[in-house]
Amino acid sequence: MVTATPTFGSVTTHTITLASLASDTNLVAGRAGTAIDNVSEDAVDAMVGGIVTTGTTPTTARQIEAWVYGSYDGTTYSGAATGTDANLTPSEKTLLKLLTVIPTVATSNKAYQWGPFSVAQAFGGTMPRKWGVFFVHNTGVNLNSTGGNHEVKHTPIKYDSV
Amino acid sequence: MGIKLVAASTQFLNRTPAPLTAYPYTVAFWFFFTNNANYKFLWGIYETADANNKIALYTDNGFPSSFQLQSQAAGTSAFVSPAMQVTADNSWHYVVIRLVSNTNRWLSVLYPSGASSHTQNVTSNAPAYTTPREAIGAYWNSDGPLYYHNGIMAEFVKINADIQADGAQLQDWMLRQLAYQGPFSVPHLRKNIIEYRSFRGGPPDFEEAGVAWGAGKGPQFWTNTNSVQAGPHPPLAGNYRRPGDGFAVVIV
Repeated sequence: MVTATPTFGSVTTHTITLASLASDTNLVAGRAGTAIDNVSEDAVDAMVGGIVTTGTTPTTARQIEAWVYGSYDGTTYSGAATGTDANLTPSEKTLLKLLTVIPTVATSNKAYQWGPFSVAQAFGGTMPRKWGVFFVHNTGVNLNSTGGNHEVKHTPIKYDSV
Repeated sequence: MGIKLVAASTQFLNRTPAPLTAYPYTVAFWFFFTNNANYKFLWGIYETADANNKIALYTDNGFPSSFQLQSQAAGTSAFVSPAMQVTADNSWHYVVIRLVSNTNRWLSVLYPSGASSHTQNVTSNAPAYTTPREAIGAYWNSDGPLYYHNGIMAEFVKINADIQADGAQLQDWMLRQLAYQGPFSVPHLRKNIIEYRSFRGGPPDFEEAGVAWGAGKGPQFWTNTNSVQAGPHPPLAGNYRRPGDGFAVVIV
């Protein structure tokens, strides 16, 4: 009898420039990362997480939001994302899917380890053809300027037949 | 989709009798203000026969206005203090009303900025009801429905317990978990949820999706007065727990 068992694929590091990301009081203008091609990756789910670090003397009691965008055809992305590592003001932020809201404090250069979150769950149970992450924050100052103090990674989940 | 309340059309939801008036209990919901202003009621329980007994949340004083949680017994009112401001129109706020006892009432708000605020009243005040009426989006006592609100409500939950056992200020992690992951994500609350209503369903009765009731109270229904329509839903995290999502272990 063949048994399907879940298996974890290789960890993938996302391309997204979070260093010095500007604050937006309205929590709209942020940064999107390069899209992940799930047609190639062929995962039934992806567990995404990472590290984001606040800047110098952020305003207390603010937040950093992590969202995912997706593509229904491999070309067009939700919220007018481009699929590339670029600043993004979504056409409508609620067209993306919220992963998490990170409450922040006034401590300078504080690293927040977030995730893992299920990408499939964010999209209602099924992985889109392509997807990526979007970050926005209102901490009052730019995020930490060192690229190495930020990261986004995911682990694809697949099934093996044994 | 939430329920979109339009004051100019005198729209609101109501039911008589209110299923729960005995303390402690908790009411929580998301609210999107479209035109916040003086003296407009978001939620409350009102004595049908008079104007002197109620517990109600409304916005008051200026623009942007302030949240006011009022308890009124035989005409004497007690308000939570300090009052908290509504941030602005076109923004989602998560509100938690905790009616712990006649001498302990809390209001907690999670603002769209990420900040939270908590305010309390400990003055003894015990509204008395013969026929309690509960309303969303209006004030309704013996004078009839009044002071309609403008905005969108979603993810309404009523729990027949104080969600925080010590009766003290609500912890911010609990406030955020309720807001972004839902009341069903907190196992010890599940058995006390008497009504959960996502308001994702469409009018007239918003019954199609995301409705649950329990704790011995049976099905709960609202009357849709003057055609409340569906509006946008707040963005919720992908792991927001809905009534039918998996099992929960309650440690007793």
